[in-house]
Amino acid sequence: MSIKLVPIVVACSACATAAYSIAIPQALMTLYPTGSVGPGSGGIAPEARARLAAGERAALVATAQGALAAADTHPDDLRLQRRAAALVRELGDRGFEPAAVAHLLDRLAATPCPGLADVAATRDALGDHGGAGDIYLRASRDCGSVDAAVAAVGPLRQADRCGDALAGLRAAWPSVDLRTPGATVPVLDAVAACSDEVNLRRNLAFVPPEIVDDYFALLASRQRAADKAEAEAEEQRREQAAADAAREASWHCESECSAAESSCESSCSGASSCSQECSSVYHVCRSGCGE
Amino acid sequence: MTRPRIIPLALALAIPLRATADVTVPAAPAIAAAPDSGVDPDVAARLASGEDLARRGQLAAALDAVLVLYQSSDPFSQAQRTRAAPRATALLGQIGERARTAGDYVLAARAFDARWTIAGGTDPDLARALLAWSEHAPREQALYLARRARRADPSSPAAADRDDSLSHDRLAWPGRLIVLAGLAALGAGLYADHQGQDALATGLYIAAPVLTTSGIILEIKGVPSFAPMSPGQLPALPER
Repeated sequence: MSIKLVPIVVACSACATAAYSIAIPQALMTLYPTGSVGPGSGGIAPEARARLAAGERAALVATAQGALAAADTHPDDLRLQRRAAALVRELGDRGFEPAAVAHLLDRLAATPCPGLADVAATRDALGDHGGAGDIYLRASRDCGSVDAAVAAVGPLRQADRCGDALAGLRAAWPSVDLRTPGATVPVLDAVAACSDEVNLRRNLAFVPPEIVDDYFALLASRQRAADKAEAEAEEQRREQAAADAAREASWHCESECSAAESSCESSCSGASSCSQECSSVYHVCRSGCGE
Repeated sequence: MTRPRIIPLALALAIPLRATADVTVPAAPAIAAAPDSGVDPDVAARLASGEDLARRGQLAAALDAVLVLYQSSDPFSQAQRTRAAPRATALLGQIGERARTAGDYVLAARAFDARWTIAGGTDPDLARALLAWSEHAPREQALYLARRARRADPSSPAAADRDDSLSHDRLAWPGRLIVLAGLAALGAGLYADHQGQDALATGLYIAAPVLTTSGIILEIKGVPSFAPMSPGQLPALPER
């Protein structure tokens, strides 16, 4: 390199260095400010979530097993028996000795009121719907419980034994307190749950006719309310769909107007009067789109 | 051992109180979710078992035993948590203390963390255990531990320092100084150039961008690019 070029090279490199050292760092420092981690406690790691979920399941099983053991060692404590049965229901048949559950249910049945209802609910939860229905019916008979006769309907329906359920309701009917407003409705609803439109009136034959008439009026009123709610929901759906369609059409129309304006502008070759004409055409077009 | 300062309101907020819901059964009266007084015999037996395990040095098993009541989602357990809290938190404190003495800071932190979740308030023991753990954890976990320590004991300067040092760009000032050195080299180069010391000026012109770029890279490299994340062992209990 010629010695004469040295000052030029030095000057150029000085200039470049100045730019590089001052301007670029400043820009980069702006782009990359000294960062810090944002506030907050932070996230829970997936393995921690999995551990917590597994811990909750294991704790529930341990609690239920402890409750079964406590019920076994305190056979006279009805609350402990009922609590153990409730925990068995919560867990289903997972992880329990069938014999331990059977002993628990035997102890509960020894105190039929309210133990039989707990036994029935537990059998139902464990999948023995027919047995659960039978025990509810026994509770209804032994405890004079109309609620138990009503509760029998669900499991007996699942066991395809509506006839037994209706017989239980018929037997419990004399215990219904007709003076309490609304007391008949759960029983009549239970009959309806085990009936269809054809045989409902026949299945209600054990009920005094004026109560049946009131019940059919109630059913009609419920049907009207359901129809009205359905109609309102349908109307809302229709209005929403119409609003969506109008909005879509408006967007489409505006998009067409924009495209037309662009096309118009491109043919103007920069003439301002032509552009103004295009713009006014666009506004006229857009005003027709509505919203 | 520093006992946590239990704040009754925090206790009430941290643990669902009894009585909201007894357990309903179709066609039968509801079952009381808690006994008239005390706790159910199996709950008491589990706590006693935890105390026995802790006495025999089986600290992890003791911790598992005492946590069952606070992990189980059933209404009976939920209803008895408040009544069991004094005994459970005392046992958790013992487990944490013994684990810390044995050098097991993870187990100590889990026990103190469970105590803090149950009792609320501040827990300097937990803060210390978490800070000890954070010294050995990857950065994102270390920051989670430091921030949890700060929440457990807001007055702890060590927790605040650890949180701050992990949260901020630790290479910011070295980077800035190197950038400044680069600018100084440029100025010195211009001066040397003016004084006719071409060789020195050229060296400084070369050094200036190298230093500046290095400083910027250092600074960018120091910017934390992570978020705090719990280790697998924490939190000890679901946060309610």
